[in-house]
Amino acid sequence: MRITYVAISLVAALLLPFGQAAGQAQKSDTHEHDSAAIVRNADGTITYGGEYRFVPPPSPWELIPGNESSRFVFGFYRKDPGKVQLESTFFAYDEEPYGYSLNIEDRSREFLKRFFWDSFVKVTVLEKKKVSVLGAEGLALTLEGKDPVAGQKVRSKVIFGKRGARVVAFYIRQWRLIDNNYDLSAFETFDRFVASLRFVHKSFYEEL
Amino acid sequence: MEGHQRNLYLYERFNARVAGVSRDDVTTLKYWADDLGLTFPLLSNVSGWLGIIFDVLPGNQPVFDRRTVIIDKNGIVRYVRDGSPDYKDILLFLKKLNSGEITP
Amino acid sequence: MMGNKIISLTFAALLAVPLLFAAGADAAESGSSLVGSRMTNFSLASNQGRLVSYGQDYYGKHHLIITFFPAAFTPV
Repeated sequence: MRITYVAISLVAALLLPFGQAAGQAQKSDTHEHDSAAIVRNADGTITYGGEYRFVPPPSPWELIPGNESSRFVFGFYRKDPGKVQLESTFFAYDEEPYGYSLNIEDRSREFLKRFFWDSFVKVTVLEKKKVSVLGAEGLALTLEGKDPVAGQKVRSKVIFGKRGARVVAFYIRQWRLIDNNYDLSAFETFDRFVASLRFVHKSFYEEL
Repeated sequence: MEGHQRNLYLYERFNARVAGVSRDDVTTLKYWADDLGLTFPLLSNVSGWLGIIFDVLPGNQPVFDRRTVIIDKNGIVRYVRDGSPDYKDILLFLKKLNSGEITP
Repeated sequence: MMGNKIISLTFAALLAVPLLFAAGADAAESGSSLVGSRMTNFSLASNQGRLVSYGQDYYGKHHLIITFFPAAFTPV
């Protein structure tokens, strides 16, 4: 045992310098879209990252590009009256929503386990229905959650669809003080955005 | 790790499997895998020796650095990337590896 | 006698190092000197209540992706 330990230690000690090899990782063809590429088309649509084409919501909605740490590809944010942290509306397109399943129903269950993981709200499903999205059948969930300690609540809608074999999602979250009313017109804006989205080309996974 | 789970069906296409390795004990890994819903194995290397072999345990730090390696089915290390896994890069590499586009 | 054994094994290990870890010809990634090296066999306990053995489960059968990560319940 001791001999083995000495041998392994020696090998390990000799190996340590080998691990310090320098060199840049090669940039690979991973279809990373340039999030800064926002093209305004003549028909009023926007092409984002050379991959997504949609009708943008009107001002004061602000386009929020996704980045390496965000879960969404891009989204739209509206600063609502009131305290910024407690009253706001945000909606987004998420190409890798929480969960793993290729089945929409199963994925929606996996998704709900984690969607509000970073808050203290307990979410209930107000409505669940089949919808048409991205040219095929999808699933829409309307949710609400309350956090009495912080005195706030959230209304959300999540729409699951398919891009190739994989499940994608759109979601909107509107936070309000617990005694204030929701602004449901934002949800209509969200629905219009979802209905307008088209993919300019096949996804990385469809071409793999 | 969720990215690996999401791509398992694609790894299968390229005759690849995946495993995670850390210095956590088996029980902790079990709780984490259950929490995330992972179906591929997470391996417990408490002593850290496999991490030493793959140079992810420099100095006196108690945990592994993040690194992904791909070993072909003949036992040769073919791919090494530091940091969080680049899942699309992994898939592109596996496609080439499995088709024979990448030779030893 | 034990001392001679240790010395012999140490020499063997030293000689084996370049054979074990011959660097890949055109690897550009960090840790590139590992590319092209031969995998060592291992058996490690897993979260799935079974021992995972590289030699039995993967060698000669499947390509294997291994992600080393710092700790459970942290971002990978």
